[in-house]
Amino acid sequence: MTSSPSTPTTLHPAGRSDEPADTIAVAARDLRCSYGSYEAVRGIDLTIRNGEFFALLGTNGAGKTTTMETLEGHRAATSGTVSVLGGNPYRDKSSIRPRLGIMLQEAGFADDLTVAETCRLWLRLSSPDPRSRSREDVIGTGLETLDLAGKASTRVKMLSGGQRRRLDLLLATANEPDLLFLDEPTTGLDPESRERTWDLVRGLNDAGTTVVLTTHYLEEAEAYADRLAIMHDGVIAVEGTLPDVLGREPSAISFEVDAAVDVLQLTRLGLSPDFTPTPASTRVAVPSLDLQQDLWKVLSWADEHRIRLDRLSASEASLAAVFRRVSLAA
Amino acid sequence: MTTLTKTPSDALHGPSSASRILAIALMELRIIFRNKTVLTGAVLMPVAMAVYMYYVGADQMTGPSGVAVLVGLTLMVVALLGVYLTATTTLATRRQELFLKRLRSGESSDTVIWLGMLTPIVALVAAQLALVGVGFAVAGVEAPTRPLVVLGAVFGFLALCATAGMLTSVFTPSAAAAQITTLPFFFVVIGTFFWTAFDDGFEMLSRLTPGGALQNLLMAGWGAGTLDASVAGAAVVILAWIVLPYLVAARRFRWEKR
Repeated sequence: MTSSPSTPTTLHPAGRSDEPADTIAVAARDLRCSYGSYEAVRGIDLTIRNGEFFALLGTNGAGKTTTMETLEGHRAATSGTVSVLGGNPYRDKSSIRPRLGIMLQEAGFADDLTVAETCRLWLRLSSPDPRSRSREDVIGTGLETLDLAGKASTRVKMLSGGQRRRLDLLLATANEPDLLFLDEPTTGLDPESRERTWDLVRGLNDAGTTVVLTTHYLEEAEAYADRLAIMHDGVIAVEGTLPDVLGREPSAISFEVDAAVDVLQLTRLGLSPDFTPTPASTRVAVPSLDLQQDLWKVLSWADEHRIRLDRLSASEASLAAVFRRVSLAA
Repeated sequence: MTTLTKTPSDALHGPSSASRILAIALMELRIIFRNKTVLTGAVLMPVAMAVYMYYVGADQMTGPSGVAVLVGLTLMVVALLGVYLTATTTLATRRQELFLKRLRSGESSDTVIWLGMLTPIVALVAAQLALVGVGFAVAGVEAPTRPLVVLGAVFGFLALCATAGMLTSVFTPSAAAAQITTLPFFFVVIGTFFWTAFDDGFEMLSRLTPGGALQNLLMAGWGAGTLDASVAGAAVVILAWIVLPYLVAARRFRWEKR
């Protein structure tokens, strides 16, 4: 996985580019997408394996949705190469789309149709169900699964935001796609609906569907993604499995000391080379790649010098911390 | 779940383009009939205008050329209101609702979506015109001597209004804005329809306009003009006015709101 030379951390899963093509669901090389003179995606490399659950995270305006829409075939890449299920998603739409499920970040419905009519229209426009179920079966099961059965005869304009989002998911997943794109699928959903959403998506993923997710809920990526990437400013800044990503991220020890304490003594403890205490500061934050060892050193130092550590905290690296660091990186 | 190396022959055959167009068209019809404002604009208003045109013009517009002008005016008003304005409004509204984007996220091609959206609008107006035609016949309006030419002119003009509506929708951000963005084409069509009647030295130029070409065809249809190369030329002009807006619109079409 690559990004621009200025990106703070980039992990390269070994051997990815040598993998046989039939194990790769999505591949992008030096993908660039521009709107006029504004370059929203600035040369990303991306490989997503068949059956993988991949989360694409990032700050607002990082380029996630543009990347997703390019992979979905909604727009052509300005430059670079994109392959989705073995074809060009923009050029080979007719052969690729029947195998995709797409839940856009924002897409509407015909407000004067009912929920059931909307589903029927969608299925009439789509390839037949791979399990040869009838349209009514597919609709019935989908509405039941997403708790919309009671709304089948309701016009779409009468649905709440969460219900519309669930209908959106139903349309994207109705025909059990090979590759499912989910662009912020749980935004605006209540906890129970989120749970139903993830039950459905996990079920599809367990059955072999490749899932590409963007979300602002980092805990969802932590819980479900096999691998994730964080985009910032049009490039992929971090990519890997959750343990990979967190393994590169320092944990944190923080505390406050009395103004009389010389915090520069801490530099002699052999803590992280990135740690540079500010002289005369009372608030200390120590980054640590070995939390247990460094915490022991700090506590021993405090004990030896009879220093009281107020508001002491030690926290493992988290995706939120990685995200914060990436988004703050210039 | 299928494997990723699936070849096209392995893929399940999806619905044909025709059945997709039909599905979208039926959906659009359903929406038109459910929305009273749209229904009034697309169905009642054009018919009411046709009745009005008859009462205002039938007495003065007699003889083959008079009837051709009366029919031409009626056709223009009905088609411009029923097809051109409705097509512009519908596409702008569906874009604003992000429903066009939704349709485009599925398996249907762009052309299928456009045809699906525009076909019911054209079909509805064609049915209205048939009704108006029957009404005119019952009221004693002279029948055309070359009905096929008239039929070609009518369907050509309806298609022209549909593709012009598609193009106008590119520059129309909302249904409300359509009231303004459609005005220039209204004036151009009606203005050029009358322009051909004046002997101002620009006859050739006026025949290249949509209104001028329509009038030439209708005149020939009612026997007020000869069936010569100029009629074929008028048919080509109408065809060009169908194709050119389509090509430009297809290239510039916006599927989602800004």
